[in-house]
Amino acid sequence: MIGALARFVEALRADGIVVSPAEMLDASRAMDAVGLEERATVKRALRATLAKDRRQTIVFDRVFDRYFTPPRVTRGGDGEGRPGAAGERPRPGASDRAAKSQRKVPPPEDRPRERHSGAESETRAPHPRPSDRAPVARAIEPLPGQGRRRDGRLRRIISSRPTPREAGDPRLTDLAARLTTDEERRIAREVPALVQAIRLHAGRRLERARTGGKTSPAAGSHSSFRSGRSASARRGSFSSWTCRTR
Amino acid sequence: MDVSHSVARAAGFFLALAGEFVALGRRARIFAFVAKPVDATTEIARWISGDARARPDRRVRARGERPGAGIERSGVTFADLLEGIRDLNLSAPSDYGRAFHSLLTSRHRPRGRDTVLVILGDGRTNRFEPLPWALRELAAGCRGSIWLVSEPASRWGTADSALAAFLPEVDLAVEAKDLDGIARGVAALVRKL
Repeated sequence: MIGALARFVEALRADGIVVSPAEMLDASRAMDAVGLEERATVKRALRATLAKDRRQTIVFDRVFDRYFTPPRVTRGGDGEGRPGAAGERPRPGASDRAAKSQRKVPPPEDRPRERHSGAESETRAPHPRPSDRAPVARAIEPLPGQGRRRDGRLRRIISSRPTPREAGDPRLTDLAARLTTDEERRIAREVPALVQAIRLHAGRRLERARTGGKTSPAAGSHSSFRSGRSASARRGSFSSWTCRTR
Repeated sequence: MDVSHSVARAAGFFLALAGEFVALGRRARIFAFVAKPVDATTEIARWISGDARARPDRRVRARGERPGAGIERSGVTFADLLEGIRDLNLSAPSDYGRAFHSLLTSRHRPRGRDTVLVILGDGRTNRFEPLPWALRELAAGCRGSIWLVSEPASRWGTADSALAAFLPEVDLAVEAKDLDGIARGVAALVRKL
């Protein structure tokens, strides 16, 4: 319990509440005194010992609610709103230090539980098995019910195409595998085609952006006149596009 | 850009692709690191433009298969290029936390409202402290941040990988385990420029 309290205090400190060791001891004594049965009582006891003024009380309430997320009740949901989603313990495979810095939520067994009626607890979605998702996926998945990512900036992950079972496509060869220099050369021969593909893609995008989402024949002829090249020749030259748009 | 043994090949292909789209030296800088970041912009720009000189003393020596030995520009392979970069210790253990922190405190710290931070690596820090706050501060000073992960997503965050700490700090993560993935990352970078 002391460990969970210490991690909670760390979360408070991260949000700007100054907590001294003496105050932490007070908080642990307060928790001893009130017990862990009632979430609301635990919250009041911690608030009385850790938050010093009205501003800190607001921060405390926010951190407490985020940290000690009560089990959610869902009906038939598979991932959304599963109980304790915000407080999973990092799995043995995960890096402990990385997990520690990411998770500010105590493990479920340390967490004061909200009491539910029997009927409700039967409708809870089951915990996903630990092997269901990679640690990173859990770290960045949306918070249950809130539709936004966990703390952090990450908004998007671009996944690569699945590798075909039979090897052969040099573009899909795993680069971390043991490859000979000849195999590497074979992959390197694909680079010019990919450069051209990216160039064309970027050229089209910049063209659209410059003409407000529509292709404009007038703009094309103007730029051809300036560059002295036809539109088709121009399309191949990425530098001419970038120079004008920067 | 991590250039340790496991990531060097992906780094070489990334440079071969991205070098066509960014003006190295003037608008883009490249820091290569295994443990300590080294500004390798000049050497890499020279390599991409085909001006790098071959190093015959190194090339004739018998070697095993080195990652990057098949990525060649004007007769100089990427593996040779890496070995020619001054102060870059290729045999050091990868330490992302130290690399990010060094970059953060250096005078070359990337920042600005037109700066896009691109990191290429697998996030395996050999159990060194990952210091995600250093990456957070680096990314906060830039307009955008992309991480190209040179591993399949199923391995992200496993064992000594600190990607669970790093990835929430960047805007976009790209699974760049193969050339196709790297090209997707470069396309995303070009879109951000």
